[in-house]
Amino acid sequence: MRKEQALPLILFIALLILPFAVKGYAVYLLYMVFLYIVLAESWNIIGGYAGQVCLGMGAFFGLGAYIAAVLSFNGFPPPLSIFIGGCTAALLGVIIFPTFRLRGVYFAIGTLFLPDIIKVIILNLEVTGGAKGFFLPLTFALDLTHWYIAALILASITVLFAFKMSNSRIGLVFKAIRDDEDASESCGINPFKYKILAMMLASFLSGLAGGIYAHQMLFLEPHGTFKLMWSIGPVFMCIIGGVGSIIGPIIGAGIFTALSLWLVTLVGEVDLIVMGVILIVVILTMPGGIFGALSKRVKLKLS
Amino acid sequence: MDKTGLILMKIRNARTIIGVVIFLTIILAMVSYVTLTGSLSILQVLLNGILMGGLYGLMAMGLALIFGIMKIINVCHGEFILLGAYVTFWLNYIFSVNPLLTLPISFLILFLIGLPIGKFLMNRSLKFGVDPPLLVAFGISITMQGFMRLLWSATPRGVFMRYETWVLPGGIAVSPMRLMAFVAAVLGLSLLYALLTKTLPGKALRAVSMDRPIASLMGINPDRINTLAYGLGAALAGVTGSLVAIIFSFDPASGGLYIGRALCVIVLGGVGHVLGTLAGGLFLGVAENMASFFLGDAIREGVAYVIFLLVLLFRPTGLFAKYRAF
Repeated sequence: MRKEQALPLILFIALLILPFAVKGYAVYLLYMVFLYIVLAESWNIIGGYAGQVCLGMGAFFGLGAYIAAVLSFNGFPPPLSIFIGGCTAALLGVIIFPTFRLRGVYFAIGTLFLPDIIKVIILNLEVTGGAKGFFLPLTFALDLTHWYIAALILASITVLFAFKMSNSRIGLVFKAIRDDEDASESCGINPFKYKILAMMLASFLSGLAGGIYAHQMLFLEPHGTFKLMWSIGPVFMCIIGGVGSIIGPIIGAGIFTALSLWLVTLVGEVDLIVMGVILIVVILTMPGGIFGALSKRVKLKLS
Repeated sequence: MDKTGLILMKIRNARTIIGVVIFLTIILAMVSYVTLTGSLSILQVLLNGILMGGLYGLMAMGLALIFGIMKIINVCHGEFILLGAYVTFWLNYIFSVNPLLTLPISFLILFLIGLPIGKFLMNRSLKFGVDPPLLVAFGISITMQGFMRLLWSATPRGVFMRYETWVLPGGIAVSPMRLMAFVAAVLGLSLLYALLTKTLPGKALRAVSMDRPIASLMGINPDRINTLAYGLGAALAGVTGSLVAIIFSFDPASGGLYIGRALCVIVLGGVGHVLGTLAGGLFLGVAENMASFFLGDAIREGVAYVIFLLVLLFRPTGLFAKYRAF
């Protein structure tokens, strides 16, 4: 086994046995970090590699959460319903194919409203409980450790997948589309097809994260499940950490969790202000994010 | 060519004919609805839509101005609107100023807030490419939301103006507040139109929006015009906010509602026409009220989004604009 492979494996095993040694809020924070890593890496596929800034990732997350919860409620085993939730989210990613005709900022604006459209639909459905919210019975309640491990495994698979993808042919095609869509088209690439593929992958992973979130929370409510934070969060994490890298979104997810869950308990409701200011400062001073700035200075060779 | 010839040429334009046909169909449908059911409720819905539409037009005008000149979508427009609403609320709450008198004050305050943001953040981020300005605007939006929540709490606020509802013959009710907002919005748009066509800075603004390099060859400083446009856009958002405070209740998180409608309006009306924006606003107002009348009030919020996506996908020039903005 080579050295580069050993380090992540040791980290994975250490994180796997951590909840048996430590209890309490730290486990919950790490669980949220893993969910955020999944969301950030999946946004990184569409936004970082394929270069399509999607501002509506919350739609896929929320749809995955709702489908998984409703299916589990109706007797499906939770792992299967989480998987179907992910597939439905991927289907939504394909359904919105007309928006891929839009380029750049217009694509971003076109996807900005996606969570709101899904929210309006879910608010008006009987099955999902409308504005009252949707409760899963307490028989589904499991110790947080289970969901911690599920989220850890999903995050590891996502990071591994993103790593393999970034060096494969598909990853190179995504980067080509990001760098110049017309030039890549003239090289025989069909950008439309590959944008849909990137969206499908990203929305599938976000949907899985949503399913895990729904089963851990046991309660879903349209305004909370489709809130703007689930859409801005992944973008924020990737921009802060470094767009188009593997390590960047992980750094970003850590910072985001620290700001949104930990800072609030310390200082009060200043998380939005701090996040906004950090976002502006990072964009204006280090376009490559924290990872980009670090690797330029220390010459890290990680991605 | 004489005047009738010009008019004939305009009529020959296929788009005009389609527009007239659609307009006549709608009128016909409404007349037949009124005669068949014998109730005037549809006219009430239409009136409400039109009164709302003026405000939507003003709401979108600031966004359209910034988009036309800086080519960025100012996502924090909703928060500027909320700031204007808070100006009116606090002036009314502490000094009991008449809300209509606060319109110029919120114009001025938001203009002064918009200028430095435009100069130091937006102008700088424009140099990095297409996406950074959007994300910076996003950052400003989150920051302002956070500040508003921290300073003024998340309690929904509203300004109360007590006036009797007027009832026209036929049982159609007119809300005086909405009428006032409509009149103020149309007045504001007319003033802006005069500013853009008659004054020197207005002409410079239009020149930059038409052709940036040529305008700078004519001695106009594009960076300064960017800043001016951003300040003016923010100021228009402030005026809109003051009117929003009279009609709706608002809280620090409700900016998204307004930005969605404003984007829908500028996609409908196109960028660069004050009249097109007003027409887009009226269209959205009527469509929203019609949809919630026939299909239930729950989908009111969804109408703007659906129209936005449909127009963007099938008719990117907008319904009234001549050149492609999106």
